[in-house]
Amino acid sequence: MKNWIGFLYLILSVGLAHTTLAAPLSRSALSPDPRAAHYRGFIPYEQMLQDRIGGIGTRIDLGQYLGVSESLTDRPILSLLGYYDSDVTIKNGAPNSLSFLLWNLLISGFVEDQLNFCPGSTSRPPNPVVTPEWIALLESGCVAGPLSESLLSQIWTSLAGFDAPMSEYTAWLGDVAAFPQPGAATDGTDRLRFALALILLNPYVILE
Amino acid sequence: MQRREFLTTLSALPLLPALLSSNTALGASTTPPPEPHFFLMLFFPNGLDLTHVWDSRPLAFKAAGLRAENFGVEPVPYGNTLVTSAFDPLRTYANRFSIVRGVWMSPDFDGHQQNVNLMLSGNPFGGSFFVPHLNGNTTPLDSITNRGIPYPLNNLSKVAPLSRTTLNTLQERVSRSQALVAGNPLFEALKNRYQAVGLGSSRMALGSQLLYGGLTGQTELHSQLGQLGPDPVTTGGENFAAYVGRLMNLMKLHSTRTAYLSLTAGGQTIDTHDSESTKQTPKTVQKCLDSVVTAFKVLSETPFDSTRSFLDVTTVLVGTEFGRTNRQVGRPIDDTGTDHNPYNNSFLIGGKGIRGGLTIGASDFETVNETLSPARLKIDPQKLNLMGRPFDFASQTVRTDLPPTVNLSDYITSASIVNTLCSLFNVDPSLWRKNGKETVNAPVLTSILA
Amino acid sequence: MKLWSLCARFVLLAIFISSGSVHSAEFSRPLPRRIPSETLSPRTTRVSITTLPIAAAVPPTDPLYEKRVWMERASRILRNGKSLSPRDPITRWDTMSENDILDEWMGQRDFENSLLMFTLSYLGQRVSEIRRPDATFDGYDDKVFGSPVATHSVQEYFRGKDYFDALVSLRTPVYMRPLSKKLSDKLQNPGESVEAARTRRYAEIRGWFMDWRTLAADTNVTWDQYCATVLAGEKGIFSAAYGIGMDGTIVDNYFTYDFLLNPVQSACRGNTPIGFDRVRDTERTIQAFDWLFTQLAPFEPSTYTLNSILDLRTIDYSPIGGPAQQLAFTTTFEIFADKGNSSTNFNRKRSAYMLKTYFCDDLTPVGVEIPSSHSGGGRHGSDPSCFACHYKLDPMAGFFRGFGRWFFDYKNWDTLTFTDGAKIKMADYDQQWKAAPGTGRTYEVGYVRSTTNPSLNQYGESIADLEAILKSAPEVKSCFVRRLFEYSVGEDQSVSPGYLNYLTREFIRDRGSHGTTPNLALKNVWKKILTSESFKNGARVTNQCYDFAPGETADPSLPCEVSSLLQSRCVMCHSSAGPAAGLALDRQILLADGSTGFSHRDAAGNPVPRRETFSRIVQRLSHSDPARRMPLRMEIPTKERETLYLWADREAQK
Repeated sequence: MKNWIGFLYLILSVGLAHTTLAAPLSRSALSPDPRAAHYRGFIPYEQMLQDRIGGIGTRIDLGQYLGVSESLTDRPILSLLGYYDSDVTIKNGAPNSLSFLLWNLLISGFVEDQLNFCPGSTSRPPNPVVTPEWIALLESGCVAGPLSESLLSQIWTSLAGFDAPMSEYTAWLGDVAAFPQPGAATDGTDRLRFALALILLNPYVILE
Repeated sequence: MQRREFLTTLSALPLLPALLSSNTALGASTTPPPEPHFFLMLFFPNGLDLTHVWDSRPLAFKAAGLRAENFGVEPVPYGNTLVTSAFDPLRTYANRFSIVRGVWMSPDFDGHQQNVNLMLSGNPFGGSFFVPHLNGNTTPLDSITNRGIPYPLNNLSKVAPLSRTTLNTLQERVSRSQALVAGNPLFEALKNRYQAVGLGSSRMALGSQLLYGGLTGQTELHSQLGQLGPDPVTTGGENFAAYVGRLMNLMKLHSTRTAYLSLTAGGQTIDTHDSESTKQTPKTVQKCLDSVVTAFKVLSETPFDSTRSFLDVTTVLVGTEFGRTNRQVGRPIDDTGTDHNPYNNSFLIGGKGIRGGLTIGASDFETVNETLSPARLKIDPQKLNLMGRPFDFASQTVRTDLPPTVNLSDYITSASIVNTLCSLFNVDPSLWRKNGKETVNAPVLTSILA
Repeated sequence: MKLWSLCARFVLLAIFISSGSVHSAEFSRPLPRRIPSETLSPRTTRVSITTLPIAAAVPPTDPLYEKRVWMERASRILRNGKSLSPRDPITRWDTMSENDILDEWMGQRDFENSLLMFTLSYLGQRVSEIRRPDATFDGYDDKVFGSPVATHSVQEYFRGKDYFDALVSLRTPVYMRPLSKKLSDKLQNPGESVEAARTRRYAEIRGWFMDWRTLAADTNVTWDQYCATVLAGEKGIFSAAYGIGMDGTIVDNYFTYDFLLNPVQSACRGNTPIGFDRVRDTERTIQAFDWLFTQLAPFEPSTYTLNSILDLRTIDYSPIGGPAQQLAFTTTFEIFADKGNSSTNFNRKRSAYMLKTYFCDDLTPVGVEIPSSHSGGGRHGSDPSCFACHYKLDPMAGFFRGFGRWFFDYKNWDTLTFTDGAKIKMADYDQQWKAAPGTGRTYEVGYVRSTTNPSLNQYGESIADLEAILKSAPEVKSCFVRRLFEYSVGEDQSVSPGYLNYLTREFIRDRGSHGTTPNLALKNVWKKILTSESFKNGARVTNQCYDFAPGETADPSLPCEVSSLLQSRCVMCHSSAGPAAGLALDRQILLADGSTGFSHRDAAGNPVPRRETFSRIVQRLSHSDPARRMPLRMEIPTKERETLYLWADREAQK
């Protein structure tokens, strides 16, 4: 039985590996090669977080996690994350080693800041730039022991919104469940760190 | 084998062909090459008039009202050409570079964009940038540049715009961060996600494949940037010598093998259409050559290992997108600007793999009364331009005949310049350049190869 | 492991869970519940969820979730880049139709910047954000004001006027942003308000006027001495303009370069206006400055803030003989968009911009007709590689023939200065575009579709004529619809020409019947695009088409764009029922050599080899003789010919 299932799985994998996900209609004469999605871009990404978890009257500043805080045009590093300069094509929009490194630095810095809301943190920001509702979710997520699906679905939706298909949410749930569950003696910050970063680096969240 | 492992292994099978391919994001190889060989290109956009450095003309040309000249001193012989005093600072490194004269750019277009596109991609309308090809897809980054490349080139995804300030800031942030490495739960989970989403050819799938390449490549890059350390030169701003040093160290750490630097003349105007700028030409070329000399100095004085300097392991190319006319029609010779001349460009090539001290190729109109070819007179009856002489690629010598018509294969072109580099860096011949509609690759300048 | 649990890994059940959420009820509508938790132990979960290819594990779709996915994407288009937020009335939107949601969003405040963002994109510019908290003057990115047609058309939309008409107008009001909030430290004392500093500065500048007058009138003062004082240094014209905080206002393009400074400035730089008089023109400059100082109060930032593009004010120079309108292209635009007029391009960059922006014409050299005679002294020659672009480029460039550096209008000058500083006599320059005798027109200036059939072309002389062409040319409307599609869906997304033509027809029809709602056509076409399959399909492949005109059928064996064009442009003559010249283009068949191609027989009834068929198609598409060029006796848009040509050329090489 298990070999049959595996074989079926193999057939499905190989057979679907290089097909498109939509029924092929016909290909373009002018663009025979399909094009890849590009980064959402630094500013839209920041805007996205602001819209979803940003507080009223405050502003999430992602640039600080790369050590800069001026305007985008004066922040060459942030321009490596995808931006519009003058013409209509995005600049530095294609993922590569350098831009991924930068995104990871930026997102991991942001995630660490979110973990400062965990109970027991000595670095809790006095003037949060995120909503109380989000903070409450973080506080609930820092705990040891299993996390409820209700909580997880809210964490997912808070960050990913409706950018990704449900299959991504399902996959994320599985990954979080597979993360070593914190025991009674430890808190859940490592797991929460993992969970948040995995959302924020999901292709449907980081790409347009 | 556990069922889980079996199924997990099976899930990766469809990706195996892609993983094994060296030309996809999923298959980026990071194996160091056996022999270090780096590339540094110094490009001066806007048409720098290098005939006021080498390939110069006697003052008799100015006296005859044929050519604007503002040094006021006779140029002196160097190899088969004449050089001005602007060349002097380069003499220290003369045995480390050669000069190629008489290079034809685009005979169909005289615009900046078209000729820069031609130089960088082989197509006046844009195409594939040749510098990443020299890198051979062996490093996390294909190339580093000092500022964004604003041309329609289709393979810039791994050409990283890192000015000195940006590089230093990045290095500092990286040194204070944890690397995302294989085995880390987040790394593994992301890898799975990118592989899963990366199946197919939808936009998102292809983008996810690029993310996969970025994820796997950033580990190495993180390590390399950490090893780079802080900039030993603490003065701020864009210190060119310090910047070149940082770039070369990054290449030594295997982050990339190539760098393309677009440089200016320090506030001077290179595109000297107006007479005021033309009068400033001696100062303009001097400022440009300061950068070249600085680069050579840094490369030659910075050790790569116990026996070699960076210049011993780096090939250098210096150039611009076209030359300039001798003068403008209807302007007095003391008060004229100069226009674009795509018929006579020149390049400096040096460092590893290049024989030093040579000057190959030539331009015509070297004496005031020279008889010029019918072909060139048809293009330029008023003799505003210097034009490259035909070249015998077999013997690597300048031809003395005067062709009745223009055939690009008779001349040294930017295609030959690039193919010479491609031959040095073992680039696949399918990526080499052809002249116009020809079906064979443009010939290599074998005489300057060491 | 039981079979049912194995099967369960391949199927995800959509079960709603109660929210019980502390998060906003609007936002955290519950996601579908997964399969029972006892099957999701870490070990098995990893196998079942994360390692399966998507295609094998796609859960049943939840229509409401899919709708929210669509809403999220559409929101970023129409609500100034905003994502759906917990503060949004999402559950109300859940109950509304897609068109109603879009209508609501197009009526909201955020739509202003969304429309502005699209308009800038249409004009070839894109910014990362319209409003920047750190922007220097008034919170807007400077590029927003580099193209006044962008601000003008958005203003017209929100004033209930015709957005599209404004978009294709090339003359706009002269806009002026708020004056700077602070002068330099040298000019503004600590603790002093900017208004007081500016007033004090005006008084100083008025003192300079005495020097200017004196120098101008004194015949012993040399020209160089006069210029040195009036232009350069601390008491010159530039300092007068910039020193009062006008450097942030876009008006300085028109004011300093076009109207106020240029007579004196140009003369001092060797380019003398016709009839220039040192005394009179200096006095005119002084009067203009004096007048300007009296107009600036409404532009003080204390009473003039730009919360909206509608707040942008204008200035009218006609009381002092200056312009009431400005050209849509500013100095700023020239600089950041690199649209100068150099001595080697003769306005062709500007012309290429017009053709690409308004006509979606990239100047593809396909099917160019070589005329039997040249115009204007054969300066472009009959070389097809040049003429292929210049037959269209040069006549369009002629509309800008009076505009030199910085888009300054040199019509009253005898010499034009190019962007690169070179100069040319206006008479010589104007001559470049003079029409040959017998053509019935003065200038060879216009939008040229054919070099052998002038009746297909639209000629003119002035910017007003160019505006009229933009308003009437069908290519401009078609291009607008295409750009809207590209902006909304992605510029790399293939789209059926039939579908675009359908959208364009609808757009034109709605424009003709809009009555009191002039922007109904814009809204309707945008809604169609935002509810199209191309837009909704999150798994779209860029080289495939997803939307077609009603009744259009796509031949899946052909590129989607080609299939559409063959049906609309070729099959009426080349069908299986009546194959003209033996060629049937309505469907591909299996050929004798096993390849796929079109049925094609020669006069003797023998099959023509596939490669030969496509080679002939290429030749006929690009034939220089209009009597033989395909489609026969039909002028088709350049883009369509290019599509067919590239496809056929590629097939011919297989």
